Amino acid sequence: MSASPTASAAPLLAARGLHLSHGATPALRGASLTVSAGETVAVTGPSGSGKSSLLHCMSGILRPDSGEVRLDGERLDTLPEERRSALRRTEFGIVFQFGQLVPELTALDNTALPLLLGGARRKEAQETAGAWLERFGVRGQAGLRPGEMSGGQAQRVALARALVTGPRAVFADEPTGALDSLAAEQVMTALVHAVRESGTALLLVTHDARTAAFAEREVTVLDGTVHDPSGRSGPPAAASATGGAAARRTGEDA
Amino acid sequence: MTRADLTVARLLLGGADRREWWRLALTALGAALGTVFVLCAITVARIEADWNPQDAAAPGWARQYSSELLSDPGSRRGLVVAFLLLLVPVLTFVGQCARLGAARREQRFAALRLTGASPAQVHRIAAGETALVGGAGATAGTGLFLAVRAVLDAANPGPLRLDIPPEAQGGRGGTDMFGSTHVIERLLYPTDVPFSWGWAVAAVLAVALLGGLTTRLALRRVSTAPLGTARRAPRRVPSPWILLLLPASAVAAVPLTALTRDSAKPPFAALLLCLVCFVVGLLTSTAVFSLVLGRFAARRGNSAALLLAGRRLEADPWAGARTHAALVLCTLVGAGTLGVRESVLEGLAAMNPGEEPDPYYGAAFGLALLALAVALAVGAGGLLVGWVESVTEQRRTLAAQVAAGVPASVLRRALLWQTALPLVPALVLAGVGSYGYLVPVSTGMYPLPLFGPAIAVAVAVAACLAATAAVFPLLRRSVHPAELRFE
Ligand SMILES: Nc1ncnc2c1ncn2[C@@H]1O[C@H](COP(=O)(O)OP(=O)(O)O)[C@@H](O)[C@H]1O
Ligand SMILES: [Mg+2]
Repeated sequence: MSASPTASAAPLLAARGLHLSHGATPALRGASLTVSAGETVAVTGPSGSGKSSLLHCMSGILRPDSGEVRLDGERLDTLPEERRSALRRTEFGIVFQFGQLVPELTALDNTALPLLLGGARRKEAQETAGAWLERFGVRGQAGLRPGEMSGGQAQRVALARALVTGPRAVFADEPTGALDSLAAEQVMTALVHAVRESGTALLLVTHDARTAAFAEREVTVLDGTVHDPSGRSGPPAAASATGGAAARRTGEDA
Repeated sequence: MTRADLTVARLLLGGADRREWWRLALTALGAALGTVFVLCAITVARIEADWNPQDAAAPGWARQYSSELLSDPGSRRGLVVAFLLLLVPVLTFVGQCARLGAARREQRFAALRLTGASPAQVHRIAAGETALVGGAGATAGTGLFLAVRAVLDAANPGPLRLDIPPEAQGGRGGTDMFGSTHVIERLLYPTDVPFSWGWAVAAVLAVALLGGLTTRLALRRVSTAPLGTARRAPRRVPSPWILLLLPASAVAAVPLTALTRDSAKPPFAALLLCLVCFVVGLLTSTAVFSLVLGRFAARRGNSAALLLAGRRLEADPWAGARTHAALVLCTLVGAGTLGVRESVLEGLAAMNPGEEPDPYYGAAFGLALLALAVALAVGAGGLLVGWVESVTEQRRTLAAQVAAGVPASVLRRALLWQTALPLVPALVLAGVGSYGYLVPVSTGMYPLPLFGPAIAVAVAVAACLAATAAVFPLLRRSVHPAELRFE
């Protein structure tokens, strides 16, 4: 990658005109979204609208069929899987609804795993991991396996694991989707607190308005396009063509 | 097993989908293979001795065959035992197949329990299912046996008139009533033994029954609840002390072996006890290594692959115990066979320099090694089936790891470690243990073998790692982001 002269001015993450189909099912139709460094953005929208697909493309898990994703102004989607995997490991933290913790590993080992992958010594990795568990209030559960914890505790361990490498962006896909409202509130408070403190950007996918309210900015995905009220992500590429989508959105909000 | 159990089993089979079909096909394949072995054993056991009264000095000889392996009644008995021993890995494989698709099966078990089946009945139904599929596979195996038999029959030479001077016939020949030549029909294969439908039906039933029993055993720890998923009954953690059986039995065997050579009444029973203790220790050792080495690797290992493998082994040290036992046993016998072969061939070469050893030895060892290779292949197949099951079950977790940036190569290495940590030490111990019976054989005229046991261990380790690597393509497909969806 050659450093572009405008790299410093570029937003942290910028997706432009993403198209993605799963077989015959279109998931993204010209989605664009910009996220600045340290910014927390909620992505909402009805089920099946393409939120997860957008997150997968922007974090380099999936490669879009067309369009581009840039990190610091550099193309991310064109990198080979090996490089994208390394980026996800070092620059990004990723949290899902559940299932991202290895069931056989203790909370401490699960949290230390990304550091070990980065070549850290066992001892240091565990010390750092322990400190992050402490921050999320699950130090006492360090020796437990995910199956032995409550859902809220497991998600807080997942947050610790996502943040332990000091990433620049955290991608969270329905991180509270499997929790009751009290646990969800605690997890979201802890997450937003941690990313603010460390200046990490957050892309939070959720269909729940209360969860979305934790973010500074909210965008909506409808029929595979992003509707950004702030206008910072550029106009939805297909907006003019699909007036129906906007109409439907109005109907839903009512 | 009641009629009702079998009826439900048949209904379940009727509704089997593609993933189930895969499990059933493998079960049938195992049963077919087992039936072929049983039919081979029956055929060799039914070989009729030569009627020639002049052979009274060598009773039981069947001189119609060109190979002494078939002619010699002693080696025929050995062949029968070998064919029946091949059932051990085959049944292990069938048991492994019963565990395939565990998640789906648990749903079905729960559904059966909800409709009022008792836990025992659920297990009987599963066993009945294997028995039905095994019966179908066994029938196919009989067909395969008949086909191969027809091919071999065509390959057999016709009646052969051998003009052999009587003195060259090793004392077993003779002149017939016409003069100095002997007419012998020499066959390569025992296709002169008539095929018996009665025995074939017995073989099919026996294999189906054994398959059902194996399934019953394989599932005995899976308890079922009417609601929610089945839960595996907790298992005792293997005690590392059991490893002490290995040196203890070895040390005890040394003076006993010495006694065997000197005394008139050798303590065979005590020696056998030592051997049994050693084998028990060896077969349990993989679970102990899973626990101890897994824990050690997870605590001390500096790599993510070691951490993942170690913790998984530690979490369920008995996970592969059955398959491991078949592989370890196979390696123990293989190391012994290769060792004896090396000793005997070298001993013979030393005793009769410049002479080719009797082809009998070559053929006998060749056959034994072939049988062991089949057993090893079936054992490795069981290992692969276990990995397929495990990867399929964990695919969401695996996909999530890859999404979070864990390189796929780390997951692959973790699988290899997970195979190697319990198996490699156990297989090496099996190779070392084979000297237990090699030393008594070798003392005296034969030298102690150097390479045979090592080669057996190396081949077994390679087979296990290869079987593990064979699951990599499935792993690659299993970590697809599509697994991350929650709907
Ligand atoms: N692996 C897949 N295979 C087939 N269709 C998929 C797959 N992933 C997503 N889709 C489809 O793509 C569309 C968008 O899915 P997704 O991005 O998961 O939406 P959301 O996260 O907003 O619910 C949906 O119609 C969904 O059914
Ligand atoms: Mg989604």
